[in-house]
Amino acid sequence: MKTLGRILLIVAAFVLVMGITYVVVNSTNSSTTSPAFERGGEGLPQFPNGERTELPRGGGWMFGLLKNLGVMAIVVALIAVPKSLMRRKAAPVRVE
Amino acid sequence: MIENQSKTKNQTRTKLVIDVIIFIVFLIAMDPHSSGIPIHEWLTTAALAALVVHLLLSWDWIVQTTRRFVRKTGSQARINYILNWLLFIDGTVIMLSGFMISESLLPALGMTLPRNFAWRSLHDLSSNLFLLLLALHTALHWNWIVEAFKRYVFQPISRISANRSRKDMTA
Repeated sequence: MKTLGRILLIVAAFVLVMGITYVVVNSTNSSTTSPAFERGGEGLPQFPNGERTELPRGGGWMFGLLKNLGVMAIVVALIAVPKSLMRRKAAPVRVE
Repeated sequence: MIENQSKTKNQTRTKLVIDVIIFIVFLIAMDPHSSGIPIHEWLTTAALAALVVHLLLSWDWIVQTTRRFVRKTGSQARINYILNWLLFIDGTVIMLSGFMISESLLPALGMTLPRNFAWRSLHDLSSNLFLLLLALHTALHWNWIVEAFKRYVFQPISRISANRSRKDMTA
């Protein structure tokens, strides 16, 4: 029962944030005008057969994975390493 | 006392497993061109359940820090708390914008939404921001991650290999 209540609270928070985002995006979207889109892409280059085909990307899945892991590793190294060094400095020196 | 300790131990182990699953799902989800749109959409929707479990396992910390936030709490806990809320909000924005531009999940459920460029750009922007926030979240919990891996992954493996080599010696 306690867990169910917590799940409901989490879902309520999800719904609240989603509702706010929906209202904000729709209000900003309707206030900005984009005539080219409204006219159905008039004057814009058209895709063959009216459909957009994804071009093959160089590098494949490995590149995307390594890029994301690399970004995370850099951020972790920039924060975790100085933090552990500071902790080691602050710790009292043991005399054997 | 002993019951409490084993409960905490079990919780930490479950949390580690859930976090590893979330991390792997995130890495797959961040590259939809490689995984394909259907996997991208269904996998991330399924990961919502894992996120809820992650939040439930951290519930005590959330409640305690919320109570202490206004009054007296450490700066690191405060940064952590704000960062976690940003992660939650950004994750929700990603989910909503993902639903709004869905090409597989919602059509499979018989729903189609009008295409809107704003939702696509919001989805891209919020997922890039999520990568950065998740990296900060990982960095702030780095010691916990290292300790949990040592205790629940590396130590059992070394114990198993030590037992095996001992058996080989006696055989």
